[in-house]
Amino acid sequence: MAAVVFSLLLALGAFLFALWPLFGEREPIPDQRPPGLLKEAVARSARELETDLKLEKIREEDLEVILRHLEKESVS
Amino acid sequence: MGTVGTYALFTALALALWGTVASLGAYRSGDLRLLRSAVRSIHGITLLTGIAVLSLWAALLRNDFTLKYVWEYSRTTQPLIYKLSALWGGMSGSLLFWCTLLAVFSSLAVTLNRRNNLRLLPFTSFLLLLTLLFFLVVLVFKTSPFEPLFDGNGVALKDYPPDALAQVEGNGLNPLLQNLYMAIHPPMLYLGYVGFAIPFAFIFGALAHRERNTFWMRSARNWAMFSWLALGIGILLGGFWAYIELGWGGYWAWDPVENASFLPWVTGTAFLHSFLMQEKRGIYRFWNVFFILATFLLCIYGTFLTRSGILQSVHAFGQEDPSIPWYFQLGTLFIAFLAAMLVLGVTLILRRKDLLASGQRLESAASREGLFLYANLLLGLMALIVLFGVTSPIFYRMATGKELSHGPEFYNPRILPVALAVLLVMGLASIAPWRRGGWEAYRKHLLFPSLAGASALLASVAALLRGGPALRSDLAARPLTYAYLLACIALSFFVAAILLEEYVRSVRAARRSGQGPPWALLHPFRENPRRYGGYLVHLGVVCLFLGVAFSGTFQREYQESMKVGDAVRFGPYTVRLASLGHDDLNADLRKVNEARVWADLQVFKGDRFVSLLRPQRVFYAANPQQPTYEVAIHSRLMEDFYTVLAGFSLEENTVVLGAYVNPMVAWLWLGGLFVLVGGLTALVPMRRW
Repeated sequence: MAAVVFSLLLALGAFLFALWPLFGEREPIPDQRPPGLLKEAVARSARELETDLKLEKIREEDLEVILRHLEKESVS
Repeated sequence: MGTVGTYALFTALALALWGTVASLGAYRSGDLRLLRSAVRSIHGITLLTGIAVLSLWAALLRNDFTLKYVWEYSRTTQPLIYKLSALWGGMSGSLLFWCTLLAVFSSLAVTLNRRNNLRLLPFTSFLLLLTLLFFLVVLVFKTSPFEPLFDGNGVALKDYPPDALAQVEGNGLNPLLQNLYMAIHPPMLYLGYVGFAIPFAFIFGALAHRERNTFWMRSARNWAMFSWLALGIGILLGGFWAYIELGWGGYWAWDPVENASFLPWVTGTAFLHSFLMQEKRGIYRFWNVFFILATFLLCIYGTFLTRSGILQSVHAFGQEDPSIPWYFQLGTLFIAFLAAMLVLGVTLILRRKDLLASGQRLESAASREGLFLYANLLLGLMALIVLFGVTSPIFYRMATGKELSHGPEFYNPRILPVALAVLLVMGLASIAPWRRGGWEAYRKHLLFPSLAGASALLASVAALLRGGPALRSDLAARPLTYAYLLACIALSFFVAAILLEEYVRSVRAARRSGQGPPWALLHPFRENPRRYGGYLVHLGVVCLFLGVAFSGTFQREYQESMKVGDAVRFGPYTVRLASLGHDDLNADLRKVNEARVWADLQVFKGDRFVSLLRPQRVFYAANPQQPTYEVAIHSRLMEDFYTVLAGFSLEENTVVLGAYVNPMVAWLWLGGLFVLVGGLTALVPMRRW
């Protein structure tokens, strides 16, 4: 009996917890992208590619083309 | 405990149903309230499935044999660790464990991404909740671990008087699973299987939300890397378990369930490499969604193969009752889910194909991008071969009613050339230049690796030619095997030399920029942890190739009858049977769980004493008619001397001793260590240390 009561209380609590946000005001999901992360993602790729320049794994003009493309991708 | 667990699963199912509807509503309407409710549903499911797991563990620890699952997979005298690991020892328990892990990972993923990737969460949550819903439907309606046990008269054991109930004893966990590595191996595999659901959900979430940007990739990549690593280590642990527990001297037999775990690992490998190209160059988007969809589906397919009992395997532990209608069989449910996810994934890919076009073309076939493409093609081909090998017996049986099983004779000739090509591409991709490529980079950096590969090849050929008549006749009998071996040795040295050269180049660059020796040695791992962690993984793969090639080609097998006091030669080793010992075999196994018989062996190599070994046979209460093997191994880097107590007679003081001389098996475990360390380096960058 105690197990059944505990289980029913648990179920009630879980549903209240899940449905609670529906009692609030309607809000749209923010559509903004995190600008810091965009820059960070491009910077990380750029940093790794610049290391490759030192190791002669990429030509300077190729690096510029790739970085330009990454920049363009990050704002599209 | 059963009541709490059953109610918890019912409530989790209801929450999953609501969460799926709410997340789909949030995706279509953009209502934040619905998204929050869906996310909270995931957290609720985590709590409830966690309670269900704790309930089952409590029942196992308390020997609550009123539950069928506990009765089937535990017994009073079972050691604590195997009572706990019985959670994944049977079908319904392992599905509960799968589902709980997925709920925990989903909770973690949505929590970690609630700020940065909030706009991707509606569809991501929808996919995760849909997967949770499927597993909860199976757990609630098909195979619940909390099902009560009934006796032969249809009376539930929970209605027994306490005195009668106290007399009931469980079956116990399969003796083969009562092994420490088997307690770790399945959870590692599950971490991998389940973990791939997260990058799958994020990538298809990004696709559904028309997100072309790359800021969400880091999260997806880390989850994929973690899952790939866990799956890979899980597979290796499984190989180690087979090596020490099954007593046949091997570690991999192309068993269908082994293959089922290998398949998502192969496509996951392709995905991880291809994904790098999307991050850096914005290319191979289609390949990435294809590979992550394939990996996720293959994870589910692997779970289906193991649980449905559709294939004959030492691992498969699900057997469907034939009286159940076909549409409610576990296999049908899994196939329906797989088909639904496949249709959903393909539809989304087709509807978003404009987002998957990179707008860039491959500038040079010899560029890094080109080599990554070859890797994709080769790994995809490897996955297709294994998938055909695993799946064709199912269709063959449906068409003819006869059994078919593919073993090494099917896989080795098809997989080996592809695997060697992967090894070559793995080496070349490390030095290949970006974008327009150019052959000068190869000319400049291939001299040392080519010399290393050629020297290793010449030395190996010379060693084969100098070998005795036995080696020459073996060479004549298996020329292709030796050709593969030589190719593997040459390529392994070639790739290892490339990796060494790459590391030295980076250290030199650090020295030129003024860093002192200790920091310069660590510099590559601090500057670009993903790449150099990846190189460590590649070094581990080279070790794995060498271990497989040598142990597969040169394994020698012996079997001899011996009396106590006898000394017998097994290849280069001489073994003296010092004594034969045993526990009380007349003891009531229900009280002691196990009884052992062992042989004490003194092992000599030439005249030199090298080791004391004690191979054993263990009689478990769960199945005393089939004693398991506990092998004893004298393990060194270049060679294992592996002994197994194949038979014994306590009356006559004799044993039948099986022995294997296995060259370089330790390289597999060493390779696994490199893979683990390299993977962790790539996952947890040193910059943060």
